[in-house]
Amino acid sequence: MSEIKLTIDGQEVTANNGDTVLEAAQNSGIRIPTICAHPALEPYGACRLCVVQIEGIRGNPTSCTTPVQNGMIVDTKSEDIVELRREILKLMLSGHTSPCFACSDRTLCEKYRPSPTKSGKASRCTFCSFRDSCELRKLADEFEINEFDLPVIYQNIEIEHNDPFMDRDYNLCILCGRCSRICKKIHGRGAIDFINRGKNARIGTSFHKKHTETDCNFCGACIDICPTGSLSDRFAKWQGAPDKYDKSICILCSLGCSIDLKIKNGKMIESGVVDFTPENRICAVGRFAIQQLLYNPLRLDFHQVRVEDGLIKDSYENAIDKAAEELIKYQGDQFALIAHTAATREEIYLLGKFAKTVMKSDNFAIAKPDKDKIIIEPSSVLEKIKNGTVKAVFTTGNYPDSTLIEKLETLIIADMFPSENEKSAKVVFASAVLVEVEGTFLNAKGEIESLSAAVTPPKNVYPDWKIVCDIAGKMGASEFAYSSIVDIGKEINQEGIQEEIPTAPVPSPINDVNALPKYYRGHKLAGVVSALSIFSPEAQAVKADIIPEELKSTVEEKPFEIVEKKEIVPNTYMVSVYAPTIAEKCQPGQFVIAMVNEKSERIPYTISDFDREKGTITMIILEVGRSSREMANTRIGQHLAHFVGPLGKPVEIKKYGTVLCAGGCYGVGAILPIARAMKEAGNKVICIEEASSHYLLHWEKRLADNCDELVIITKDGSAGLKGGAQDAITMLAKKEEKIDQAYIIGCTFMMMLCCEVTKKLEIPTQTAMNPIMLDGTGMCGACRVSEGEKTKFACVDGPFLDGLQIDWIELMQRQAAFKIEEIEGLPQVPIEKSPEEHFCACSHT
Amino acid sequence: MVFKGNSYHFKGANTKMQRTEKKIAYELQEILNNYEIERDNLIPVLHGVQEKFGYISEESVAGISRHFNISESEIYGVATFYTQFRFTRPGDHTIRVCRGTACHVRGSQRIMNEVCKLTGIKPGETTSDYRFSLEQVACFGSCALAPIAVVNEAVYGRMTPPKIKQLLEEIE
Ligand code: SF4
Ligand code: SF4
Ligand code: SF4
Ligand code: FES
Ligand code: FES
Repeated sequence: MSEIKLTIDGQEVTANNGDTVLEAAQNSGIRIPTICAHPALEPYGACRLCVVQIEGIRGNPTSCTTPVQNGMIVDTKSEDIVELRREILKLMLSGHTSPCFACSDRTLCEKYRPSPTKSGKASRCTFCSFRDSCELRKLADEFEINEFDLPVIYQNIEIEHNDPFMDRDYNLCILCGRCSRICKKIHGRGAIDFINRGKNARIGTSFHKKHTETDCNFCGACIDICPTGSLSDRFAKWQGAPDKYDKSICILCSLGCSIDLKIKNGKMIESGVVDFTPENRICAVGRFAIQQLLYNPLRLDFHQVRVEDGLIKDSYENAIDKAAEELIKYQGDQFALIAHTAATREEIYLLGKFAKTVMKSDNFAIAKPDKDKIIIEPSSVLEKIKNGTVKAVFTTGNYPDSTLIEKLETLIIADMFPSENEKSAKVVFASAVLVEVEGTFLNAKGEIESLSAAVTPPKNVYPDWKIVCDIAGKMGASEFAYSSIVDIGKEINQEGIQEEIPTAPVPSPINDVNALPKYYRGHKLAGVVSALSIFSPEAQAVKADIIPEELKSTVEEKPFEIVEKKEIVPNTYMVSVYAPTIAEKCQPGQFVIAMVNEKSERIPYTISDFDREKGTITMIILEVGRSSREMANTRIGQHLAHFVGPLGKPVEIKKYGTVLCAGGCYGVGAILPIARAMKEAGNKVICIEEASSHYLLHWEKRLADNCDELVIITKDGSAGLKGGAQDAITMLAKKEEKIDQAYIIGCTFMMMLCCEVTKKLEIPTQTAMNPIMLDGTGMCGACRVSEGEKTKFACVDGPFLDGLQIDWIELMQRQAAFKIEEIEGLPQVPIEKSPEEHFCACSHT
Repeated sequence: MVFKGNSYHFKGANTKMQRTEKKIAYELQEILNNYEIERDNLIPVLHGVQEKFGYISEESVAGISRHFNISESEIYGVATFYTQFRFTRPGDHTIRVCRGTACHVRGSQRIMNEVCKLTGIKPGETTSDYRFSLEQVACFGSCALAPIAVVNEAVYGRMTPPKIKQLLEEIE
């Protein structure tokens, strides 16, 4: 390859013939900002962010598509170029939902909200799961973009959650085409591409089909290459940015694909391809199922031993003692051990060695998944169980089947999930599995690959090999004390063990979603990772039968009918419920507690309006988290399982003089009944409506009709004044408006900022503390607030408390801590179970 | 065909445009066979398909995808880039009502309302039995005869609600 010499930013640079100017710059340590370019992709030239100036070339060529030439003189950093890039970026951002950049409270906001809010739609950065990893945001900050010439647009494209793995929010898409290009590169025939033209151009599938109806193999490459939050892994998305990356192997089938792990606090967030090449692509199980197995709500993370009344939790040491005590009775042909193929070489070797040398038995079998069933080989072992020769079994999973188990005297299980067989087990060990295990794996190509135990297993939970070593040690065997995995590997080599090279699955799961691995340790994968049931038609048929039944029963029994429901602005829903007794009694400022179904959490919602004649209660709901998502996904005509109220102390309605009512987010609705009542009581009422951007404003007319003056203020200045509610209050004070009493409802952050101002102005201020309540009974303590010297519970003492007395900083910090905990706890709850559910999530009308 | 109240009913099943799946596949293959497997031929093929079937269907996209070994999304992407392709099956009869200024002034809205009432569909839609499609079009250039309606290719001027009703009734 011939060398080319050129000058970039005054620096002499050599490049290979055929390199682009961008590559030449990058190879010499000169950074040019890019978006659509990616090392795994061919030059594309769509975003134009990488523009440069080249002497003798007119205009501003994109460096990612311009090949180097001898003697070229390139300028990447001139003022004009930087300014041009800034403009390009601004244009890109205004089609993205990012008013946060233009918000003057952003620094404080991010300080007090260390992780983004788990909302249903990313209507702004603070609500976007990708906030901390977003490339666009990093660039916007690098270019110090903090104002827009044109208002930011929310396109309102329906969010796609119509497959069980991915969320696709094309409102955040900047049309860089990385996803469709990588899909095509990896699979030849891509599942996604640019569709439509002009301002309707977007990424999509043929005829907007669900990905499950296209060629999509669910390799997840599109998610991993997207620079924005448009594409995400639904299970992993709220975990935040990883703090560590590591390599590992997926051993769920004999292909043993290499995977890249994203890890945070020792926990796996998600896996992905090691590089974006066709050769290294992975299947849906390797991409989406591993984390869902590890953090599955069903996972065993404690050991159990049998006492008279049944199995009880016990320490690892006691479980080892008990297992050793049992097994020692069954040495020789009475014992059998069943291992499985999704294990490291070291594990298979040691389990075999344990059977042979400690238990002195040749009955060592391996459970192999074979398409839709499990085969245990050699079958002679099963014969011996059947004919009663074998009386004790150590098994690493949900096999052999229960008819054989009945014949046994002793069963020891090491597994990851509970099983029917547990009923007969003397000891059940919880095992560390997959990427939690260190060792090597023999793949179908005959290659030996290594796993690094990159992910931390639950506390006191160990891999199968360690379990047998400890049992062996307890039984007095000396040759099971290894100082490291490497020593085991050496022993395998010394012994000259003949290892069987596993056969590759046909067809390969990486090409065919119908050929995905079906079992792990004898458990049906679709049974534990419900998302996978989309690929097993039987499971789906069952689901389809169940769901309408469930809905029916709710309809017949429950009285609280939803009479009106709509999404008024992105992610914000208005829900009206028929509840005449509550409507009859309720007073401004009170709240209700609702449960969508019997299993939902109890969630307090401020009453935003009520109609005594029609007997309805109206709430404004922000979709943030699981329970409000359930509420956002209800349909007109559906009945709520539970609806209680009115709760909390009403606000005191009397003549104060001038009353200020400020609302943000869901609080816009919540201040309405207060404003109305205050006006009826003869006050002059001034309302402030705050929103991040123009597309989030709602109910302006309703508010205006119920007050003397309405001030609209947006954080990005796209409608009304620019700033937050607190700035509007300052402005009113400057106008010499004498305010006698203020009511503020919004997120904690907004209320804090407002109280700082009203405190200075000495305006008595009441703030609604609903956003911090969890159960509304004072039991959970989540809504504990320090009001001056006193500790109050928002749900019983409030919702309105004296905003001037509240220790806001303490409150924000507690909430931030709580939020992190909540997010870490998230994987315990499979967020959405069936594709049917996603479907209703996006078809709200 | 007879009108009954606000909707219309058929005398018999509509078979004219009903093609069996097999026949469609065969006809599609016939079109495809005329073209070399070259990407440049994609647009001509799409035109051919639209000419034959009146629209580009999911099945056609799937067939073209197999023939050219180009992904369905890419074909759909190319097709949706051009405004002349349609993706829903048109009705056997297309009714177009002009909404140009002259027609508007002379009451084209009433004509449109009448057609909507009779067929039960809105502009841009096709009846579920694929009998009628309804479209709104900008000026036809026959303003002197306003208001204008075009049924299939025939232009009718000085339309009134009763006249359009009669026209529809006359369609076999
Ligand atoms: S998951 Fe893989 S196959 Fe599916 S659209 Fe994304 S890149 Fe393409
Ligand atoms: S979805 Fe992501 S990767 Fe695909 S075009 Fe949009 S921003 Fe780019
Ligand atoms: S094909 Fe899938 S299950 Fe098999 S090793 Fe690769 S990622 Fe794992
Ligand atoms: S990075 Fe060069 S045009 Fe996008
Ligand atoms: S913050 Fe940029 S896409 Fe979410």
